[in-house]
Amino acid sequence: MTDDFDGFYRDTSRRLLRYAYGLTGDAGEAQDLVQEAYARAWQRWRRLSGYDDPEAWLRLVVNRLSSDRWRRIGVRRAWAAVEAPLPPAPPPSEDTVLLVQAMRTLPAVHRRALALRYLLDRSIADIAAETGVPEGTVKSWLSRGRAGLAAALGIEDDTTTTREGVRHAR
Amino acid sequence: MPADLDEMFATLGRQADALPLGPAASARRRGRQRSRRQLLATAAAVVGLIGGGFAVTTNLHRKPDPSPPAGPLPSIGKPISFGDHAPLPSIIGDTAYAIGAAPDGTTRIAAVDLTTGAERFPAHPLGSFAGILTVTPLPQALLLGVEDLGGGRTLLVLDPATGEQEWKLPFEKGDDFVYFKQDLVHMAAKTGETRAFDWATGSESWRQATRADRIIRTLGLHSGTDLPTAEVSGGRLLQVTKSGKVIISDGATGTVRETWPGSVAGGTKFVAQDAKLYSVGAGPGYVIRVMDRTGSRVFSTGPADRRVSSLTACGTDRICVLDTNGEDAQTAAAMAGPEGEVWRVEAPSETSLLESAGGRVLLTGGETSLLYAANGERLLDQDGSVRFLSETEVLSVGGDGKVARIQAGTGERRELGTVPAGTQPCVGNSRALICLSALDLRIWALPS
Repeated sequence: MTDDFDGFYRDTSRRLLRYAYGLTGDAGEAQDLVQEAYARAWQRWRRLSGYDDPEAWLRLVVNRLSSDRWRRIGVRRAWAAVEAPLPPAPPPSEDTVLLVQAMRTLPAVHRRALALRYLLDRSIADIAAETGVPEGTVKSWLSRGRAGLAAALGIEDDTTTTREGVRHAR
Repeated sequence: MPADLDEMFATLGRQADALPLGPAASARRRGRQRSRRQLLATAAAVVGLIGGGFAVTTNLHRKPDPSPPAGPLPSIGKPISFGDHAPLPSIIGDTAYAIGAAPDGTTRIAAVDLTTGAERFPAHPLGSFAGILTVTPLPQALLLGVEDLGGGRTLLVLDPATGEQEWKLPFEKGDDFVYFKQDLVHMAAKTGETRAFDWATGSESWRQATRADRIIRTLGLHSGTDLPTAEVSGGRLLQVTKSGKVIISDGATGTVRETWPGSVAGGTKFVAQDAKLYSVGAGPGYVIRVMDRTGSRVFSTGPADRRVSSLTACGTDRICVLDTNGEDAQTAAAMAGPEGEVWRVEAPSETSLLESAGGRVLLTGGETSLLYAANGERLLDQDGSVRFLSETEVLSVGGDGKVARIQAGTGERRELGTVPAGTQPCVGNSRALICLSALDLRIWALPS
């Protein structure tokens, strides 16, 4: 069971960290959310390992924790004194700082869709299945999310149509 | 000036990839520590067997799925969200309600017709509050208990048809509410004063004078083994005085009908069922007493060093409890009868709800739900949430998103469909399921 879990962690944790970083824009919080999500996964690994897509379950945990500021603070406090500190993270680039600030201006559903699409390269159909909404809604979230980012960043909203039919700024 | 969003996302992704991450062993260690902590923080349910040792409750007879895997459940209406937090769900009849905080600080309500998916009424604000304490759906009204910005507490009585506030009632911590068909009864804990209010108008229907021997608890006298409901069908009000006397009144008029002999002094938790009052008091462990019009006597005693966190009636002459070990806070569930403890089982971590119907007992509210028969046989062990649909059937929403109806007596399972994995918690009835996702509230139709 431990080997299974460790293999799953090895195969998926980097993707979850990308996702958490995209949602929170904070390296420390993202690292902590990922560890917390896998800790919860380990508690129920016997069941979770039988799921069709246990990675989606982990993303849902990250969603919930990241959307609740107080719970997030509690998680960090609870474990800060327990775990050995990780090596320091390299400082983010100027573009990343700007993108993170812009992401924070968006509704959470837009952030979630953008992170799934542009950080995890998930298809529109995958995102629709994971979030339980029609594909048209996902396209709308992505389009509006990109438009919101463009506005926040002061980028020209020069829209083009992509392969999935999402019109976004280029 | 950044020029390209795609490149910016690519940069953010690369920087995320460069972040240090602890090993899997660290996550496992953290998971084990979480488990220990939850064990300490919650109570485990234990049930004991008197006269025959411990009941073994591992005979799980979950039957293989007779129905083929079902696809995603059809949605009803659009997801409901008031901001970054999902609202609280409830159902009255064929209407689903969502109540939650909006980014502007107001608490809002929305409603969806479960038959058509249409808005029942336009979403609108109810006011600005420090927090929501309770949401109680009743046929007569949707009750919303809130903490005011000034720190007081108010019960808002909302019209289920419009979501508009009909009237409101200030209350304090420790007050009791009892819901009859015609009136809402409120007992003020500080004074014991008990008043009834007409559902439609909020006007006072009756009032009991304050007694020298102050009323300290007011309950509805439930009857039968039907599904647990907030509304009291029997029409009788049971009140406990400070000295331990028990007074039975007519719920429609407040008139005292009888006073039972004996005393339940020292009782800290009560449940009134089938013309009997069960009370939990302290002993070497704990003592459950039963009282009726003939007097009071010891019903059952609990193991030493355990204390009761929750109790419910669970069949004729049966009381079920969640009790906790004082030393390490391990929780257990137990069923007791006049002959003493009948069975005792360990409860899953985070079990918060003990519910009974048809003599069966459901432990749920945590990540795992368990259903037990009256004889202590485990009927169901289900990941996720489970609630009674009827005395004989439960609705299960697994952590993997699979939704099923399960026959409580036989374990026969009928797959209804799926919702996104991890969509919890949910409320539902035989027609619809309402669940919180990460950010919003979703409604799905259930096949008949």
